[in-house]
Amino acid sequence: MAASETGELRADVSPEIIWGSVGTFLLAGGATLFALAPRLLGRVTGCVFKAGTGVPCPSCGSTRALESLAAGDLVGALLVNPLAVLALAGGVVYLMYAWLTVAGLIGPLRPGWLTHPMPMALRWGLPSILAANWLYLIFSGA
Amino acid sequence: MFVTVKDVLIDAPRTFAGMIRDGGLGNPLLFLLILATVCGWIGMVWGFLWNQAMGATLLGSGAMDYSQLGLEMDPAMLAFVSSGLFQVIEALILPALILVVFFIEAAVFHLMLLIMGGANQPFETTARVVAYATGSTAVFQAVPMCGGLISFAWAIIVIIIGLAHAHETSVGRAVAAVLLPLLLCCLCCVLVLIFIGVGLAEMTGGSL
Repeated sequence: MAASETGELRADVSPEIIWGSVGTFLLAGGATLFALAPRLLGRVTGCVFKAGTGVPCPSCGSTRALESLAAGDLVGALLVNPLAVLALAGGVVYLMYAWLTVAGLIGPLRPGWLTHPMPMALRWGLPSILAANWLYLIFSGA
Repeated sequence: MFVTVKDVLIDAPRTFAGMIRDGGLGNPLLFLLILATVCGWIGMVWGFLWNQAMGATLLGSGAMDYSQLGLEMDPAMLAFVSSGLFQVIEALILPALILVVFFIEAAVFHLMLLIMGGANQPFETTARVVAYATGSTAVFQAVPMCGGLISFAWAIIVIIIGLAHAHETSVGRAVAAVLLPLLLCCLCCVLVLIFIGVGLAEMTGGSL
């Protein structure tokens, strides 16, 4: 950290360190919950959104998908909430990439399509994927 | 620091329009960590006192039917959550939690701005707005009872104003970027409050 010309403290931290740390914290938090209070995860059984509206929320089934994954049932996990499983897989892949980059084993990736302005395909694609997954959850009775 | 808090709370449009957009995350993070941690600790003390007064009589007595919320609360777990030990653990990890929540929040808002076509500046700008807005409005958490609610509502307004001015985008896009992700969370919170209200009304025979 160093002072800039404007007197601001500069923290030139790479995105891999920031998001790798955030991901590691979340992973450690989840692991601690599993290790220290497994009954807590077993007891939180319902979704407030679904209990109130009768319609599953976009993240409904994520806990069951995790349980299926823990049991080695990838297909079962995908059937419960496909987007949650894919997002989790993406998160794990990114975490491994971040750790390898921070360790200096691979170079950082800076994809141009992730900068502003975002390409129209992505601007429409991301909400469409979320909506499609939600519709799947609603009609599959998740 | 106090001048920044005053400027953000009183005159957010001018403050964020004149904010340095690429000044790094050092100062904003320090600002956020100090204010949110100290005020968060004060808020936790108020919360603990409130829990001791109300939680033991209503929530912790088993009179509340948590199954109405879709939750099956273990009495031992409930006792632990209401205990002083849990508060101490929560206080110790609060700075780390603040940082993690801050980065996730800033990332979600920036992603929403990108999708809305309103992100005219890099992620750094969004993160600086969120840090200064959240840090400044965190002072309300020191207010007993309704401090958290005031802090949350004021932060949302300041973040919307800040993003609109710092990214030089329309207020409509900033509103959508901030409110759309919060919509589902808020809906869940409202449902929880309704269920708790119904539960309390049933317990008191509708005298509330």
